[in-house]
Amino acid sequence: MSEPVPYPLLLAILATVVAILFAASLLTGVSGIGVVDGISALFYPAPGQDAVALVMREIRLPRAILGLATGLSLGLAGAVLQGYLRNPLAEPGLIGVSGAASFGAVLAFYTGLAGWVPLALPAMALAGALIAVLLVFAIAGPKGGSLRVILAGIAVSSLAGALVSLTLNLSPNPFAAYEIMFWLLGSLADRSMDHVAIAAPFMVAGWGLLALTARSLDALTLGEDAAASLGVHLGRVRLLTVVGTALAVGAATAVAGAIGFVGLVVPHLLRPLVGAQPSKLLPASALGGAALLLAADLTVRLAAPDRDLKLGVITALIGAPFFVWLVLSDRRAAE
Amino acid sequence: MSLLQVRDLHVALAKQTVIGGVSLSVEPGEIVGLIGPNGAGKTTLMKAAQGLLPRQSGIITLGGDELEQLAPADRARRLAWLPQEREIAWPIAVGRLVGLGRLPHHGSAKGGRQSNRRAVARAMQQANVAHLAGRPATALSGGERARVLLARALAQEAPLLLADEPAAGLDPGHQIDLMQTLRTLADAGNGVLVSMHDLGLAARWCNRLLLLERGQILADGPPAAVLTTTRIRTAYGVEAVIQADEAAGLTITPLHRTSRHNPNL
Amino acid sequence: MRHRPKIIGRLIRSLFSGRGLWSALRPWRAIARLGAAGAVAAAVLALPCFAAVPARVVSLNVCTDQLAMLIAAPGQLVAVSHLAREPQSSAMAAEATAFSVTSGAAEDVFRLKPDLVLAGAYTTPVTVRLLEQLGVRVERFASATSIDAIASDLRRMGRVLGREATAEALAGAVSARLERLAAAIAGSPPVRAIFLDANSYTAGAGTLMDSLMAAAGLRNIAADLRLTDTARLPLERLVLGKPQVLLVPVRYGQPSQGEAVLDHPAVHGLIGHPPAVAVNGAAAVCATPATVATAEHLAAVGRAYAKGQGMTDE
Repeated sequence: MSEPVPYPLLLAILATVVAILFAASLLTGVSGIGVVDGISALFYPAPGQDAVALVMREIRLPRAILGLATGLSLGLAGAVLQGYLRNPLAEPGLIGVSGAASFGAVLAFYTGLAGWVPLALPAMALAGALIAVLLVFAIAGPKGGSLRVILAGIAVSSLAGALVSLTLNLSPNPFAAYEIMFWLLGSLADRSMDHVAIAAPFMVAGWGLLALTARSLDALTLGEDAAASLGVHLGRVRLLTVVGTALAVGAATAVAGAIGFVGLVVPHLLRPLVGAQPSKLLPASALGGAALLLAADLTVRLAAPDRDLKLGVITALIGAPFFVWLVLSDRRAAE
Repeated sequence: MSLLQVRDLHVALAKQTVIGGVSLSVEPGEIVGLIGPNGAGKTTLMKAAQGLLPRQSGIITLGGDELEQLAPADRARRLAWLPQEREIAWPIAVGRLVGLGRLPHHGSAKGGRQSNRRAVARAMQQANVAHLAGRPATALSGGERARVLLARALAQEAPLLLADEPAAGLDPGHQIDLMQTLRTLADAGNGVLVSMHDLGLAARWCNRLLLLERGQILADGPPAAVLTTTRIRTAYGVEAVIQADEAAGLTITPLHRTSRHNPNL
Repeated sequence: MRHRPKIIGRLIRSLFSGRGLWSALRPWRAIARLGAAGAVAAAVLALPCFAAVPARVVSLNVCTDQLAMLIAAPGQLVAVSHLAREPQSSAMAAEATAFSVTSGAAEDVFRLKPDLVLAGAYTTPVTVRLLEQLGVRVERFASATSIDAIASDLRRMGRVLGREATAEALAGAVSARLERLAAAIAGSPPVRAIFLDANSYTAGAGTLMDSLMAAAGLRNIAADLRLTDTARLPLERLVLGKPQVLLVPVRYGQPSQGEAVLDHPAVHGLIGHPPAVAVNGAAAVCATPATVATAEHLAAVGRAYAKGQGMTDE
């Protein structure tokens, strides 16, 4: 399949959409701060603009940055996992990586560990994500077909969800039990630059590792043997995929909770536009993921400004029907 | 210098010896047919010979250099591999799929945009798939898919091609096209090691046959020397009629199971 | 068994009204759960329904817990709710350790053989309904939405417990303190304040906290933002509200995301200007004499702030 849109143009369009949504994210909030006011307060706050500057810099900016970075992580990790497993259903949320990362973060946060060592939050989430990827890969086997990968993922994500709920229900803090929703559905409400600071380095490192898989993923289109014969070091690709996913998704989940379906929907929608080539899908998916998450977060804020609607609700509302459609089209193809 | 030299190769899978002391070589200009019954170890031998499977012992050299001394990309520039599974995971354009064969040349002198494009065009010409260039590789017929994957291996421009049952599932016309392509490749000074089940096809197109049975080489030589009714009976458990004809060459017609044959062996 | 005809009547009604048979049978299920159902139920039902002075009082609500602890005669209050011992909800957590605690489940309450149960308007509704159906006297106290409720609730508790004199003394003292407070803040400029609770909740108009802030001479920004009752206050609006005094709750020992919002850098940025005052949230949960103490404390904070800023009447 050749691309309907030239690849550089596609990337430019996606980047523009992300930039527009990022700006929209900065300029959207319950308090109607004017565009000029907001932008000037963000960069050069006037003497009387203390409060507006505080809102722009400490509330809206971290939210927009995390929306972009989290979406980018999920979109990129989804594209890499799909390429590596040659399975269009592989996705951080569906295969339990996000859930397990959530569990790691929950352990770090509610035991008070993250209070002592802030890095414990992303580190434990990362460990959770790492264990989940390894588990799914181990259960499904090296050539795990769609079914086995998804079954293994369901097992891991159900277990992770149960452990999150258990830990939160056992917390002596009565608020904890109500925070199951945050950890299993995700939200960017009230995030701060502190969250950006602890998560961003891990995410960026993860993106770097994931990006290194690009050429190998192309070769894997032909299967593992053919890829190996083309000079691809399978062990290295596997390591990059596992560690890169754990870093990116683990850190994203540590600060935003488990957000599903982004890594499923985005690569799927963009695959025909990049001629299905896995390496080209990576940058496109990363940008697409960022755009989808920023848009979902805007929807959350515009639809219910005072309610703290969870992000995962929006992504699931988009993703679940999409998932059904995928299964149906797969069935049609099989029949 | 041999393109491939294997000496005393031993391979075990799940603690079971699959290849027990095989030596072989492939020289420039020859098509070597690897024949033998199902489960004889043909695929294992081909994979182990290029380092895709770990071996217990044995020395393997590619163009005179020891396999282990070669970087993966270097190895891939000397040896192309066409696996039996015709896997294509994504609906990428045929032209791009064939272009994957250029991956080992990335960053090397022959990896420039121009030479890549020429190599891909040549490979698609040789495999007769140039007209499919823009088609999604997952939307091809079985024969087209096999030819496209062959083109991918040819695009690698390695002096040695290892192909695992490339003729399986092809109609007679496409089988002959395939063998003709391999012949052209060999005539240009390359070497081909190809496993196959069609003994007639093997006899007609290969310079040399290797008969593998239970992980060991039963015979190695020109088709007429290797293919005897006794060996076919021993290796395959079938009675066959072998006819030599000036014009048609060797024809082998399997008739029926040897009465003493134990299918469990 | 007095209940039988009533139950049969409910069963028959349920058949016609289309209500679930199951819910019609609820009292039976409860009695079955009560173990020695017949005997205990009969014993309790035999008690006079409105004894002049209740001897065994059980409180199921953190507010009635505190009022009862202040007023009840020794031995009269048999058990209080488990929240009574939690400093985040109860201003008398220390005192509550002297009383046994009930889970609030009907079975537990019933075992205590109470002749009076004190409940909130919304707390443990299932238990309360069951107890009433079993003939136990239940007194419900509405949640207070104004500090005026302190004195009136104390007096009512005095009547209910037959301890009018004790209650009157407490109520009189509360009224006197509030009058003194009103006089002290009269004429001083209102200080802008807001309560930031866990999960970005705040107390708007019509809440006890709002009334408490008014009594302390603080102007509740949440009410200015037209928020009523307990409402979400997104951080942005908090920051742009430019509070001069920020009230934050007393935290639980273990961390939660809900309380983490209190540590948000934007909140810290605010704290640079107004002093953050940790309010014992318990003081604003129930209208008790402790609420007056908090109002007095806040008034002092507000006055000190106004003085420090050189504020005059607006």
